[in-house]
Amino acid sequence: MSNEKKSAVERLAAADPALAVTQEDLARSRGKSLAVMQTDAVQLAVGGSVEQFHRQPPVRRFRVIGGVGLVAAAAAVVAGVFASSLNPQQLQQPVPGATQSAAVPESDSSGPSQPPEIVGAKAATGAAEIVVGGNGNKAAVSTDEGVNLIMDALITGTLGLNSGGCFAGIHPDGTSGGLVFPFGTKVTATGVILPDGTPVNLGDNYAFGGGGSPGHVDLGECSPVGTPFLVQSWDGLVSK
Amino acid sequence: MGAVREKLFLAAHAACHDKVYRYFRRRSEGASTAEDLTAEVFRIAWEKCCQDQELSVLMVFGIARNVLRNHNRSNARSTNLAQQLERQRIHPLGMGEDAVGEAMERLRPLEREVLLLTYWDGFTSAEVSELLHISASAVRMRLHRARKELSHLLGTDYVAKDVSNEQ
Repeated sequence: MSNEKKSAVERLAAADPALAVTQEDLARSRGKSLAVMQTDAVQLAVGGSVEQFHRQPPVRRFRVIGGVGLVAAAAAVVAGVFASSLNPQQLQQPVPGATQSAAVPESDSSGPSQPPEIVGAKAATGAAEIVVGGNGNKAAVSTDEGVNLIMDALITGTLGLNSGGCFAGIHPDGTSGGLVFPFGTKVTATGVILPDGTPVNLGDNYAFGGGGSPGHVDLGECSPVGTPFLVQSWDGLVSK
Repeated sequence: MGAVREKLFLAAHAACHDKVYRYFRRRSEGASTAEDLTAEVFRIAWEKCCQDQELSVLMVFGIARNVLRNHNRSNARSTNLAQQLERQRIHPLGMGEDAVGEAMERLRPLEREVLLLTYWDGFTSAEVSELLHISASAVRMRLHRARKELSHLLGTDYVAKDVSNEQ
């Protein structure tokens, strides 16, 4: 039996996974565990460290507040009795004018300042019409005037005609995508003239800024599928 | 203040690091896990040194046991049962010798821990008693039972082999 025990213990010792630990393993682990000295990380609890929490003296604030509350309530009762004994006319206060509430801001001036209101900003609504130019070619042109909130997307392609005879973007894979040109665009036989006079003709490569046309305006043959791209900026983005 | 803290920490590190690392290698999945767990132990030890608290080997091992328990708990949460069984089937206790590993698996957890702390980690009965918060006589009794059971399990294994050889 003792031989068996010895054998079991020897086999147990031989099966120790730590026998495979090398000096390199130990050195690496030593370096990693010594690196904690470079930090001053302290485990925090809500309201401070655990240590501070346990060392905090018992709080007696509630007792003090309760006492103050009782005194205030007693004072209010005494004041109420005194006021009820006075002539009602003496208690009348001047009624604030009807316009006063408008003049005085409702929010406390000491509170956080409100963000400034954005005025004069106008975003596109997506409203557009189909304009017919020479040769019967058509283009969708926005009817939103004075839009000054510009979207940031970029679209590139080549100006072409879609199957409905409408100026549209032709993608490299041969598919076409609807374009809505900005308000003031003129439609010619060979392309469009943007509001600042920039011509974009059939076959021109373009890179327009803007975004998907908001709203769900039906542009018929100018955008048979998908959401058309609303062109909003084009400076230097057109090339032959 | 800072120098005292460093001195206390470095003393504890020199005395315990290798033992703690081996402790984790015996009980976790591999070298990288053992490194991480060891680093976590010494991070906690570094915080404790902030209070100018001297750290004995047993205190560091107390931290190590808690860290290992947390690690096992979070492992159990994140790994589903099937994966755990698969892992245990492939690497029982991370041991190379299958028969010993299987025998260890069949021991009661506390008896197994007493056995491992004694024969692998090299602690005395008194130290194991302090570490596991049980009396020294309970440690001796569990160690006796564990040794007996392990001998029995491995002895059965031997007998089975002898019988098969004779045939």
